[in-house]
Amino acid sequence: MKIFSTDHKVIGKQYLTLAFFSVALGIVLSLIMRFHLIRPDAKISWFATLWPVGATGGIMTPELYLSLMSIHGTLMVFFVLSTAPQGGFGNYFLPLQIGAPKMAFPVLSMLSFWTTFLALMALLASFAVEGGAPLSGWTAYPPLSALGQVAGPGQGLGMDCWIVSIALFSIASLMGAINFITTILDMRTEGMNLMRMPLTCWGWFVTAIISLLAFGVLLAAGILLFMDRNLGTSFFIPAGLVVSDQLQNHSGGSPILWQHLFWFFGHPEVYIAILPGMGIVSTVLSVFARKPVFGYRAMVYAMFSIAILGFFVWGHHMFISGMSPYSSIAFSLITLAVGVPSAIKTFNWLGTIWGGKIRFTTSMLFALGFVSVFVSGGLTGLFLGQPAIDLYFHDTYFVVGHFHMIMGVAAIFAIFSAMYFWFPKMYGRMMNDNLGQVHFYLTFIGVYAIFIPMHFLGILGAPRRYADFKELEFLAKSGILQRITTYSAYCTAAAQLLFFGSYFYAKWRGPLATINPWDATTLEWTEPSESNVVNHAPDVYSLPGEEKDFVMQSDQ
Amino acid sequence: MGLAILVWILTVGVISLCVGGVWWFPAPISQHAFNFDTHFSRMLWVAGAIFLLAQGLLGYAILRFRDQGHPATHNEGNARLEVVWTMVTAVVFIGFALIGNKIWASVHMDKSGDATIKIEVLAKQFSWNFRYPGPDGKLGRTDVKFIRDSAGNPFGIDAQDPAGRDDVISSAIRVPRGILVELTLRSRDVIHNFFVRELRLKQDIVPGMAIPLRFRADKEGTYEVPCSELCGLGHHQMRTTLIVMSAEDFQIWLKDEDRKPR
Amino acid sequence: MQKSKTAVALLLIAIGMVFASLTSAMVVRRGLGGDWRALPFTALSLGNLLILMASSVALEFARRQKSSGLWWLSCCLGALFLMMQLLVWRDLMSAGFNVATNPSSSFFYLISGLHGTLVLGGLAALATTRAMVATWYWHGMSILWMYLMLLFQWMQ
Repeated sequence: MKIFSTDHKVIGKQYLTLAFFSVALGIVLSLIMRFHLIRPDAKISWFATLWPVGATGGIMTPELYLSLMSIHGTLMVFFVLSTAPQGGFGNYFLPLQIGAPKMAFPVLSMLSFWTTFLALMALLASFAVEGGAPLSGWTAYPPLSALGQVAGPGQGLGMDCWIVSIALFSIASLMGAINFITTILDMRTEGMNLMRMPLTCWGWFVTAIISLLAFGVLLAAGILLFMDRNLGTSFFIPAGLVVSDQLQNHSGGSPILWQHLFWFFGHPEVYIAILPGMGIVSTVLSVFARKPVFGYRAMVYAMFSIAILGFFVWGHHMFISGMSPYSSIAFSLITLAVGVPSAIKTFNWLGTIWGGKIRFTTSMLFALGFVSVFVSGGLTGLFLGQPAIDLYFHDTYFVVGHFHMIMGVAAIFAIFSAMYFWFPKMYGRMMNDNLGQVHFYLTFIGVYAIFIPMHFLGILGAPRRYADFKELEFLAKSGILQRITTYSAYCTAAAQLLFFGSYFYAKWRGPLATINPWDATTLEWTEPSESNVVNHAPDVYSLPGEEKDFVMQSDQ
Repeated sequence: MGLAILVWILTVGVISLCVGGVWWFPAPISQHAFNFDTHFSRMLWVAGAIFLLAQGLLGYAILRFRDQGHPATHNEGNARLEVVWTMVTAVVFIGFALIGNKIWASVHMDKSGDATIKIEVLAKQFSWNFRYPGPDGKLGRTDVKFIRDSAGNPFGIDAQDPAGRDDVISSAIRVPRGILVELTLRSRDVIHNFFVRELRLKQDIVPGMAIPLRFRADKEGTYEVPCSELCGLGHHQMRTTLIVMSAEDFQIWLKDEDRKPR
Repeated sequence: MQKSKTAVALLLIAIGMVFASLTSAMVVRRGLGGDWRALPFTALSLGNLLILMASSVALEFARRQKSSGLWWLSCCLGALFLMMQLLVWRDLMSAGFNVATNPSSSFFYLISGLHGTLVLGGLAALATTRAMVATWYWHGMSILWMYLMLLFQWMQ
């Protein structure tokens, strides 16, 4: 296998490998953080080996905790959730599903992957530089992120690494977005009109459009922040700051300006993470319920409504930031309006399985789990989308629980669903379904056990991004919630070893797969030699009067 | 099949945790906090009903439509149903936003009533300072060049300004009960956040800005104020208390503080 | 080819978003307070805009008449534009405006620097291909600079 391959299948697998590495590292970081939260004074000798400065003598410092948190967030949001569904499965399956021989620009695909790889290296380098990784979180609010080392360890070179990483990632995503949109617009096979595309392709298409419009803004914001830090400009830094008794030589900038730019990107980013997953889940539900997607057109329109409205809701991250209270009301109305197409999708998923003949494969279980988690995480959004309620919940564990459910867990469930679904196509072998079922049930129970307690911590008022809660008297009786979360996190992480084990075993030793093991209809399940002319919608199942219960898109 | 039952168990579990209220809000100490709680429980009822309905139907569909050898129905959707549930969710969701905004407006847009107590809040890595005007009712002039933490002058009060000589500086915030208080929130370095759970109030403190925040606390007591916006390595230790006292005690405290030599 | 047309159109949209966000940042930053200072623009920068537009016009004729000479003329004008931009920078610096002097100059150096980099990329494209989409990109850069010059005038 060539390393700098231009084959979309190889690039897809490379993206997935990068995402698997990032998710494994991100999980390890979160386990260390969870451990620290229940045993803040524990002395662990290998902490000191790994971080001689951040954990001298084996006791974790708050700055180390915060740097783990920053890297955990950045890894998960960018290198897992924005990478696996789009760069991974998208590169691999988009050309197959629309009957294109390859992506529109194979070299661009290759460059886009390797730029993402460089971005990951730049991020990880922050651990190795003086001061360590940045501690300002994945949102990097200035002035904390703009003042340099004086604002805290990790805010020196580590922060610069972070900015370089994010800038590279933005450029890679823009390359990917151009490639995806062009492929979908210009490379579809005969008969594959837009409304015959599987909803997976719609997911990738809408995500690519969002990426195209959003990542340029993050890139610009990153450059401005870099200049404030290294060239002495004052975009985000106001005058007269005294940090550690030093007067800062800046004047007139606005920290809120960063928040506007960042969240103008950052909220659409949430949809970048979840829309491909919505497409995958729609397809998988339809395949294993043996029914067409309920309201295919409504699903497409809902995706576009989410994408469009998603660009006008960024202010709901900033209700209490000091921005005008009047704009909060406008942002709040649009935010709850985004809930409408999301609810439509949920109803349609239920409609898709209603009256079906459900086959409970592992892939299907994860798709059904996605619906459950999406509902649970979405409903808390109804609370947080209102400035009045945000007056209490902003930056509490309620928010942490909410976005992990709706963005993290839901998207990961979609990734798992896709992995179990497409594994036979990718490797020609089957994954073990029994192991998969165990993996699903442990993960499904696990994520609820991890994230539901966080909501109650939030109701108690626990602020997020606290290295420990020893000082807060009002949390003295909530240790049990912290412990449930931590132990559940351990168990859920351990359950993922099952997945990795099953994955590698099946890759080399799994039973050989037939060409279309799930009786699915879309083009990736046809023999490569067959004609690619499309005659049918992507989801023709259980048509009355037909002998088979499915009609492939390429069937006469 | 197992999944259906599991989804139901989780649903009932989550709902009973909410109903049980073991981990819940502290008692409200202001009219706003009371209104907040009313609105929150209203929201919770509706969200809970949607939660129960959606998860319940999901479980039911999983159980009812599992593969038992029957053929699946061929159904590509139902336009009328789509229109109905779109309208219903739109009305419910937008309705919530509209109702909730009253509470928001009462905090940030209601300028009625004069706040007789004005307090300047200064947040910095990683401590709090509160400044009260002395008997003259005026805060002294400040400048960054006078800031000396070691000399007890975190605000940078200009010693030349007579209005500043009687200013009272405190590391905890004390307010009289039942009287409208106006805070002016300032930060000296990075973004911090002023949060009092019992008041159901939270506001970022942004360097370069002076953000007003008004409240009236109706119940005496001591309440914790945790910094709620990531401000650096000491974020988790940046904590102070809000002490609500009777109006008389407050005046006595203010006089005593003023007499203390600085 | 259709797909390269689509791709260049998308590329221009992506670039447009970068400059749109910088524009909004500039408007917000200028509205924040009294520290915004006007930049001393000279005839040089206006003349330079004309050079880039002339380059675009030359390129359009080159494409229509399949004239290699005009194509190279356009490239030379593009290169001249870049050199003159450096002169504009030098003038600004000698007038006391460095990158960190004032937000107005910070934005100017950043925006003209980004634009210059994109023009340099376009020049490389023009030198290696005669594809129609290269002319699209080049016109895009001319229009962008025209817009940016208007923006800088408006932000004075």
